[in-house]
Amino acid sequence: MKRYYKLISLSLFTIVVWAGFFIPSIPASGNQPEFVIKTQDDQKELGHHLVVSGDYSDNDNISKFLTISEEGSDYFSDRSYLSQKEMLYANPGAEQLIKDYRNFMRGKGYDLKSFYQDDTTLAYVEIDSDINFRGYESINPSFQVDVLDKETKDRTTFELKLTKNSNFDYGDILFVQLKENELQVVASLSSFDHEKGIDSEEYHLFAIDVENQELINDELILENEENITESQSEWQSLDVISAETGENDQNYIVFMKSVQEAESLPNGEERIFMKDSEFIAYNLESKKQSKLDIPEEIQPEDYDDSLHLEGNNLYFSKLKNNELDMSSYDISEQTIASEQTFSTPERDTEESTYYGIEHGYLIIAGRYITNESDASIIIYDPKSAEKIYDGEISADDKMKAVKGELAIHDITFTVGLNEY
Amino acid sequence: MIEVTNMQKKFGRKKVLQGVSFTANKGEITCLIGVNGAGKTTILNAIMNLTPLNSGQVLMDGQLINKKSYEKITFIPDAITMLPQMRIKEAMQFMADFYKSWNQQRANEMISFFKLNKEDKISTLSKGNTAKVNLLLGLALDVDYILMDEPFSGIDIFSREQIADVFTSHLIEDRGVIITTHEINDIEHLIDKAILLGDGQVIKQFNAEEIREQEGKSVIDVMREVYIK
Amino acid sequence: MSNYLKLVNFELNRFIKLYMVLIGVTIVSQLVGAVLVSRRYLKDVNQAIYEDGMSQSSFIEQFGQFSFYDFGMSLWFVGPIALSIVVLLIYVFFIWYRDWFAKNTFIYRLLTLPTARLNVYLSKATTIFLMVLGLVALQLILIPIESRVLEWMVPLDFRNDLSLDQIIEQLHVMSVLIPQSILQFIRNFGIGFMSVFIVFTAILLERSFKWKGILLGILYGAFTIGLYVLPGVLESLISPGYFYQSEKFFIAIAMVVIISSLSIWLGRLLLKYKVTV
Repeated sequence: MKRYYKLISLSLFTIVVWAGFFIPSIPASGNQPEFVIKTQDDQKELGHHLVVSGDYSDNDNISKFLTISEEGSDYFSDRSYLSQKEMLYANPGAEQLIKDYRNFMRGKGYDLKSFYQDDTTLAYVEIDSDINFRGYESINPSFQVDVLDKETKDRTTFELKLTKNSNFDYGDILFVQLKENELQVVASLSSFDHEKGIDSEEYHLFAIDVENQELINDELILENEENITESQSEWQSLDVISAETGENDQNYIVFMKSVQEAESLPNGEERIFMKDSEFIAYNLESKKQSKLDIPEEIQPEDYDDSLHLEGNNLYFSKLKNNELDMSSYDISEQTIASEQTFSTPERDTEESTYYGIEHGYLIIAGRYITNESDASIIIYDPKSAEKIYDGEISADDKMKAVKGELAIHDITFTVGLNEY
Repeated sequence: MIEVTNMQKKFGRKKVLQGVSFTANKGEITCLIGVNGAGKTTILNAIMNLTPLNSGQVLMDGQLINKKSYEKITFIPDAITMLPQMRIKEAMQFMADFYKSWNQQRANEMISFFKLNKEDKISTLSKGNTAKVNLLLGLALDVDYILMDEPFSGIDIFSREQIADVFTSHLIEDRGVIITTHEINDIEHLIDKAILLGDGQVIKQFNAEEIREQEGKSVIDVMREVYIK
Repeated sequence: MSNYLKLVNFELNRFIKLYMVLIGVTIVSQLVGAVLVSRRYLKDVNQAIYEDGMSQSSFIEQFGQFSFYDFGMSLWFVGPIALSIVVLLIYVFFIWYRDWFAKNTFIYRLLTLPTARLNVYLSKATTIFLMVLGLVALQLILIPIESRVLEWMVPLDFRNDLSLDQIIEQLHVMSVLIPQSILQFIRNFGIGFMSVFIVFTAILLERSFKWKGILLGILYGAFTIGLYVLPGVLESLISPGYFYQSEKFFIAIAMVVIISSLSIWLGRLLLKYKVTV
């Protein structure tokens, strides 16, 4: 046996060192605090479905992505290696789809705008094409359509060649809605003319008959051209404000035409200002456009002022001085439906407030949560300003010790939230 | 008994063996005789499965050679098959580790017979002593068959005498030996069976004693007859 | 004690001297390097602050703090690793060819041992694996030691101490050799070991068929690489993006197992029936 001492000692050394490296790392948590959403007793229903996603960082300055719910916190880095590779960083919506419909989601892109989901159906539309060897031109573009009946598990998959409008470089799906076996698809088709330096964009509404697997309509909604080569201090912009699908029927798409201007701030960042804004609503059923008469006070001035489309309501928000001004414009009635002001958590700067409209609810919270700050999450009806929910993000003691900070990206509801 | 049947081997396009058949019995010393390149070494290599055959078969005691056979048959090639940086005692330890048939007592006997020093490194030994160690590694195994390839080549005369003595001793006694050489003088008197090779085939095989008694010829006489024609 | 283990022990002992040299060079070069690289940084600090009159905070702002990364990028650290990789790569070939071409053609002995010839193949592979894992293990314990050295040498204000995990993440070579999870370990080293098996079998093809064998060996290498990438290629041709990452991972491991088994099986066949001295 003593003649084997070299083999034995090398083997032992190797095994001990490797085991010592891997075994302690299995409970990986370390110093990060656990968070949980705490709801006041009588509002449990909404609280059950809330999900906060954000980054936690402590004085080591490494940020860790996590999601927080009533059940607690789920750090991305704590997931097993395979789970990390499998699941997507910071796209919980697509993650949920993969979890629920694994086979359907194979080979699909993860931009939620391409998906439509309701109680009975999951649909996906994508513009696919072969790329020219130069890399920027699309050849043989086609719609890839995949529709899943959730109950029968039947799947309808087909491809539709885009023959008429096939001359574009890049096609992007902005909105998908399924109504009575017909897919309404809003897509932007853009091309870049290299010689002239012009970037042109066309917005189309396509109608796809799922049962007969054919493209039954193609409407040009709007187009826009931008001269890229000219100096960039001011330009004409056309932005689409589309809404989430699946909850209710979405009747409109709204476009905002504005002159945008970039201004450099002293801290090196750039801020984009908008002026001369025009709002155009496009009715998906009647295919008619109408210009919306939006009072200038509520029009957005820069990208921090947000726009949100929910059903027939277009919400305009401005944040200032610990207050959020929110007005809603009813597109079908063509009038301002409400104007409300909401208080926001005490903050140093305006950017430190998080707010968003989800499923018709206005959620307000502080964006950066430390041990000393206000960690409340408050939900209102944006039109009536009625407070519907009051809760908070609570952290355990570890946060105090390391002076950590939670930066909130997003607060959403998980699937399954019915009308409250 | 070792039975070689219709051995055929090509190296590239050269047909070295074209149907060699012979037998070698236990208790006898069989000598493969032929000029350089006649394929003697190839035959031994093939018996030991150290080189594949194109055709033909080798049976040892009625069975094909497999891994267990190496406890019953050993090969002493013309170069030593041990690491040069090993000491003689380490080489012996290696053999003891792997071969159940290793007989350390007999090995020690040979060490003193050949007047070798266990502590010597193989790389430092003279050609003669290296050959003796090589022999030792083979003979100290309790095997039934021993193959030797040119055991006398390039060895000084005194070592040759020592080695020749081994052949008449109890160390060889009951075993079957197949030996190749192109210098017949050293062992002519020891050979039981002679196999003369030429053009890749067995030209003549005979029992040395019978030929001497019946025809009054020595092995070398027969060789002259066969090769110089 | 099985013949296989005896052979592993034997092969290890043949290489142990050179192995010890690699270990020694790594330890000395890295420890000395830790000291020297820290000293160089301190020299820059002292020059900037005491001679050029820079303040501490502006030095740190301009040149940054000293961390393991600065040391880890130096030749003192990387050199021994590169050396070991090269030596071991050469040894993958040498471990076979030495037995054929050294003065004492030890291959005669190896092939006539009363043991399955497969053990010869496996013991050589095992020796290589053990040596690779051993050297990486050495690196694993050296890194914390070197961190300590850096801590002794450079004052706290100028230092950015990194954890072992952070160091591994930032030094790309380390993140391949020291994977962060067991599954990654299995995959990375699986591919490495599979490659050794492929090379071994290619060597045996050459040793069995000489000139034709070289061609066969290269073809075999190409074939196994093709086989390994086949699932991925099929996926991109038939249905791009079909497999999820975790599935791709398991496919990779399955291919490693398949190709390694194929190589071992073929190697065994060659050793038993085709190889020649």
